[in-house]
Amino acid sequence: MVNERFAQLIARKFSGEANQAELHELETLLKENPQSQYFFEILSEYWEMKAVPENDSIQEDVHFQQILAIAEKGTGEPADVPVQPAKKGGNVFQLRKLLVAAGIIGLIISAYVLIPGSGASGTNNPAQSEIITAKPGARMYMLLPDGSKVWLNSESKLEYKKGFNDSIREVTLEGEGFFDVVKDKKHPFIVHTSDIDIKVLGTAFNVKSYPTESYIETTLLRGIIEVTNKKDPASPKVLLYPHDKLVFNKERRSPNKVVPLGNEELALATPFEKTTLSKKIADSALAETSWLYNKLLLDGETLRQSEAKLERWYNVNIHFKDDKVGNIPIRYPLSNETIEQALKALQYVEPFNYRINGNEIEIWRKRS
Amino acid sequence: MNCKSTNETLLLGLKEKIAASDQNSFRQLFHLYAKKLTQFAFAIVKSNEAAREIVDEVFIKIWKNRSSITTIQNLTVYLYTAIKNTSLNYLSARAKQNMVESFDFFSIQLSDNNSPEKTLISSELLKKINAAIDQLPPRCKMVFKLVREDGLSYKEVGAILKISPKTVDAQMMIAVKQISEKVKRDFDYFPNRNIKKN
Repeated sequence: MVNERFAQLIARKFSGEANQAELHELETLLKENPQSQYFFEILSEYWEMKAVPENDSIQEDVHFQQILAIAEKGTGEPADVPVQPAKKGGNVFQLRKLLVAAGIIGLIISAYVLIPGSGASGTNNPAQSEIITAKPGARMYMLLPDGSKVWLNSESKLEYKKGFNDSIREVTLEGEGFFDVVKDKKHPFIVHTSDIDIKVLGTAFNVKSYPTESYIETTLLRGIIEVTNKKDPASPKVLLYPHDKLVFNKERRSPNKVVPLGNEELALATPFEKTTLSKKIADSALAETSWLYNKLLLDGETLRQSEAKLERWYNVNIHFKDDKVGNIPIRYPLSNETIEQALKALQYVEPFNYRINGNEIEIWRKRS
Repeated sequence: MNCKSTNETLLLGLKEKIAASDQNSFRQLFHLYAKKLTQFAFAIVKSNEAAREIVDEVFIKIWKNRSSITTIQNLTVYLYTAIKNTSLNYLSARAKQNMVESFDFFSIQLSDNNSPEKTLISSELLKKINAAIDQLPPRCKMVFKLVREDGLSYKEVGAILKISPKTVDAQMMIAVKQISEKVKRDFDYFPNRNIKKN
């Protein structure tokens, strides 16, 4: 039921060798032989099945180091090399295990070395830094020299030193950014903010750290990240797992705050608070990441609570003319609306009047 | 295909950097090919340790002669050919005779597929497909492996195995036809699309 020409076309299609005419011919053949469609689908599935196992990158890296070591030696005689796989089974296996362990230890040590040093290497040297800013009302996307992707939300600034490369990966963020970091176990990627440092190996996460706001929010989508309190480096690091959200309260940042006698609760208060977000919600519908999809999600906050968000998003100033307006919780996804369309939509949730004058917006209560 | 051309630009960049002694690029090259080349070597020598040694040998040579790496036209073809030759040398040394490279005279070991979860293909059916491929003549099997598992083009496979792309095309046709015949009975039992995983 699959003749030679048919088989030839199928093979060409799956291997990417077929041209347009051949693809067309194949399509016609498939239509004429409905029974063969099933075989076609089976083979298509089979073609996609991964025959190559997932990479064990640590193992492979150890292997690479051995090869490089031999190649660098120049003699090329395998006998020179302490760790050569084939001949002596048991010992070599032990050695390889050791090497893997050594790799892991090296990783942890480098983490310790990097963190204290990095705090000081902040923003002081503008001459040698690249600064990227997303102006109010604008959002930006960029590729860092190591291939990591960064999205910047409105009124945010990302700074990295001229020396940023595959091995030194540190940035300083003010505002909100989403990072999709290229995996490199040897070279952690560090995001510095005013109060916390976030160290990652290769993940995707969102950081919101506006100087005007008293909270720094870190939300992790993939991988693992490690967060340290810069003002209190001795305090335990916080590890985040996918869909964890960590809120750092700047008001509680000082560890040496004088605590009134008998108020142990405050003494124990950590500036960190960790919650876990629902995994069922798509990234685009998550308030923390919806901005990446050009959506501004009002997620049960009142208009007053979202004032700063709206101001940044639309590059406007909002003035509430009386106390009674802007206090109703709103759940509404804004996407491509202009500020005027947005206000009109929000009027359905909470009746109010508004006036737009350039970038100034006045809002007051609608009298019924 | 799109991914093939991006791969070529990537390789071009890597070659230049490796020629300039950039270890990181060499590392990248290794990670790109190590798994596939090891499996290719394994298909010929059928020993994990030997396959690993062969891959080591080829990469060590690459690094030692890195200054001339930019003169290599198609790095993929070069690497596979080097693995093939080194593997054949290994076998020749062990058999104390020269192995010919047509692959007509010895069996080819293909890699195991991952378990067929989440696919249309039941494990029964997968067994049949694998059996069909296993019964292909060695050269045909090798062609099929390099095209499907390694994603190489007909031209590249032809260059590696020293056969014309036309022969690769014909071998692929034979492979697909054979699979279709071997699994044909399944369709008689299940004419509709209701074969699901067990």
